[in-house]
Amino acid sequence: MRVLLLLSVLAGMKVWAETPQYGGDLNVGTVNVTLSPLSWDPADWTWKSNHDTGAAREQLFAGDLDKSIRKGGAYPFIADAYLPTESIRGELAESWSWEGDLTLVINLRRNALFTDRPGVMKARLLEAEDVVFSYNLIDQSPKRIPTYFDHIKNVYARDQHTVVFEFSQYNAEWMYRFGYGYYSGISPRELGKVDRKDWRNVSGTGPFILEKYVQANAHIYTRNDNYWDQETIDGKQYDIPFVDKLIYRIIKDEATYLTALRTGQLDILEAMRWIAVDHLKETTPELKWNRWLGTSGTFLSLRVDQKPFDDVRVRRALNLAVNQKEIVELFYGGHAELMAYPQHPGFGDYFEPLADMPEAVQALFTYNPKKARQLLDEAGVPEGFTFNVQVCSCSPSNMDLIPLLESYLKKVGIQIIIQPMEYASFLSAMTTKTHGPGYLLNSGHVNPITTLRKSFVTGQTWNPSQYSSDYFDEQVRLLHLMRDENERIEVLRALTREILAEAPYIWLPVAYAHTAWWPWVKNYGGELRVGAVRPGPIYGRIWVDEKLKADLGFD
Amino acid sequence: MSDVTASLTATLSGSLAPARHPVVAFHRRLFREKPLGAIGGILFAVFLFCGLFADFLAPFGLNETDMLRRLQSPSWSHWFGTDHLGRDVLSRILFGAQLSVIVGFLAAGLATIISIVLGVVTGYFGGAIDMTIQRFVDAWMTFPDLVLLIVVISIVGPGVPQIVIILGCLYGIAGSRIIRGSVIGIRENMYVHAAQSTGASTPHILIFHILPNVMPVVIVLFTTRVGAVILAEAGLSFLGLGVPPPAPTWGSMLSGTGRTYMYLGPWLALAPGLCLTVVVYAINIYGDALRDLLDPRMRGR
Repeated sequence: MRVLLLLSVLAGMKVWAETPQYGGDLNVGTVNVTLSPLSWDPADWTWKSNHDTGAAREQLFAGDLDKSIRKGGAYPFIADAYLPTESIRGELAESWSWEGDLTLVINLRRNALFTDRPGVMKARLLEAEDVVFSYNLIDQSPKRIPTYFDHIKNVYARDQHTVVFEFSQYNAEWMYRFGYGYYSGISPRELGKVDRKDWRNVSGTGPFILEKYVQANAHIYTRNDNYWDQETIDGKQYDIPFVDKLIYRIIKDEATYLTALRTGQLDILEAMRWIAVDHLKETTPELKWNRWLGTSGTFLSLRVDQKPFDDVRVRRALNLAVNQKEIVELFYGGHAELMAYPQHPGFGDYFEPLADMPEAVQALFTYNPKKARQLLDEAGVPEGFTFNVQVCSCSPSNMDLIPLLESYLKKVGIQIIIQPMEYASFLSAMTTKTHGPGYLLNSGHVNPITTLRKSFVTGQTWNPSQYSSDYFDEQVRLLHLMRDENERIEVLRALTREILAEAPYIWLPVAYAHTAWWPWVKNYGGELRVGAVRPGPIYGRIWVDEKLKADLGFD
Repeated sequence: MSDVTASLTATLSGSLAPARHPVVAFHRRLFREKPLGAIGGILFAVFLFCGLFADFLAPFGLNETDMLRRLQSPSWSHWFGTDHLGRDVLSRILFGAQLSVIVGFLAAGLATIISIVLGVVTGYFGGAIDMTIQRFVDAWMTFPDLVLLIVVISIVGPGVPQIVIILGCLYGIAGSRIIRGSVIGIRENMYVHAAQSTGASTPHILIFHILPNVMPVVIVLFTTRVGAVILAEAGLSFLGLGVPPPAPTWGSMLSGTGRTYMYLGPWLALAPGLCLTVVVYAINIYGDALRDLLDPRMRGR
């Protein structure tokens, strides 16, 4: 009898505990916990815009969290900017259809409301002209990425809730380019009349309102009481967001953000290195965990437009001089994949494992300093040479890795001069193409096609090696025109093999990262993005179990 | 010989000591009267020796990696253990001492020169020159050291020359106030007036009458500045604004591997932390002892 009573009480407690609650704050150390916002202006084309404003500013498409693994679906929502077609839902797009081959018609939601923003606008419903404004704002920006919107001929509002995209040619990435991609946020037309660089003017239809930004410390969002969307939990629908405040902490120091998690100052820490995990699991066993393969590749880019890196033999020699296997096994403690860039294993058939690659590619991942010296001899630099390598001080892992690379290269007579740089100047050096001959970078995989286009097509902003090949450019252009996915996969695999063999980078292993969160964070399973580095909608669906938090000693 | 110069010689020689080299005599007195300061001096000398001869003393290279021996605890083959890349921590500590010696002595030297020039000029001439320069010094001293350092290094970028110049300027300008105070007292002495009245040129008076008499203050200032500069450089390196890797500095060893791997290899933080503490403490107590022995005002206390 007592057992039955106890069980019923426990069952009751569980039901009570798992019923979503409103209120509380959610403190997050995101994947980009060390980085401050780069710009609040969508026309600046900064990759981090979605991260910083994506809880307030929505897009036409987003990942459907009802299809997440946690909810019985197939998608982890970890990739930085890749949503398989089946995992996508309309966010501000209620429905969409094609008229002919090249005209896309999007019907917008009629209940999406721009929030009241003093100095910018009174609250009003989303209209098709807002989408046209948002598109034109970035398309006409001088900072636009070359060729990015070349497939779009015209965008116009057919009526108040219908927007039409007329394409000049098909583009396999259309949904990413101005749907869920990095530069796809929908702002109100009123943004055109105010200072777009001022965070106070960030406006949108999203679940949160950007209330405050404290320089290099935090972005603080408050709940949007008039948000249009709902979340279904155990068959019941709830208005969202659940939490009153969403706070992105900016913490530049690794030990500090780990401590912030351990002490409950952070509810979620989205990315940490393997070295911290064992100790955290020991000292804080309550934490929940998710392990994921990094969604950005690590590489040392070599400027192929400068000597001696214009010689492929030199570039290959540098690859052979680095003991990749040792990096995987000892530097990363086995928590890394030898070859997972430029394609990511999560890209399905687009990814070809190293074992299936041609021998010439496999050789680049095999430590062979003798062969490296031989190639350097053949290339006419038998005595070696010295070059500068720029590295971002914002990356603890890269700052740890670079002395190891220095040591490997020194063994074949190559000396590197390490130049640590603060993130803004580090990024700016690349975007203005004034970066050094060596550039140690983490660059997002994005999606199967974009990873090739942005990194290796002539003149692209995110092409740190300045790789340029007419043949490669043309193949990538054709790739975008292909409607048949199987055909795309074949061509893409060939291009990936080719670029790997060309070695514009010293290819480096991709490490696994770990996400940890406290058990009071509910309706969450370690998902990271539902668009291009856009976690906002995930946080909109999280609720905080305040009682459990108090029970664990964190009032 | 002026009165104060005679006084300094007497101080260095010891009032009752038989005739011998003044430096030897002074150190005998240091051991006798200030044993703690003497220990500081010995540690300071050891630090200098390690820094100067790191290339010969270090058993391994400063960035000699061996991943197979990573994170090994202290042993006979690696007295201070190895770091996450298998580098010998003792060797890195020694090379770190070398950098500290270079930065410490160059920056403290520069700071002392700046202090002397500004302090002597403003203290001796007084008037508008003193007023103008010292108001600038006042303004300079209102900025917190670390904030100023971070801002300037962020603009010019990290590197040994930049750090030396910035730390030299930072401590030199602030230190000029101390030299100025001494000069103001000295310029009113009879022998200075005598030199002026016999037609000695201003440079002659500054070099042969003022400067020798502020030397005790200069020596103490230089010594304490070495400790302060080493600590400041460690602070900058701790914040990632110091000397770029792979060059080891104690500050960067503390902030980088020291903290990241502190649970897996506590020696990585302990080694540079202890060295930094011991060296700076040694320099400070040595500097204090020097001041006590050289400053005539401290005599008899």
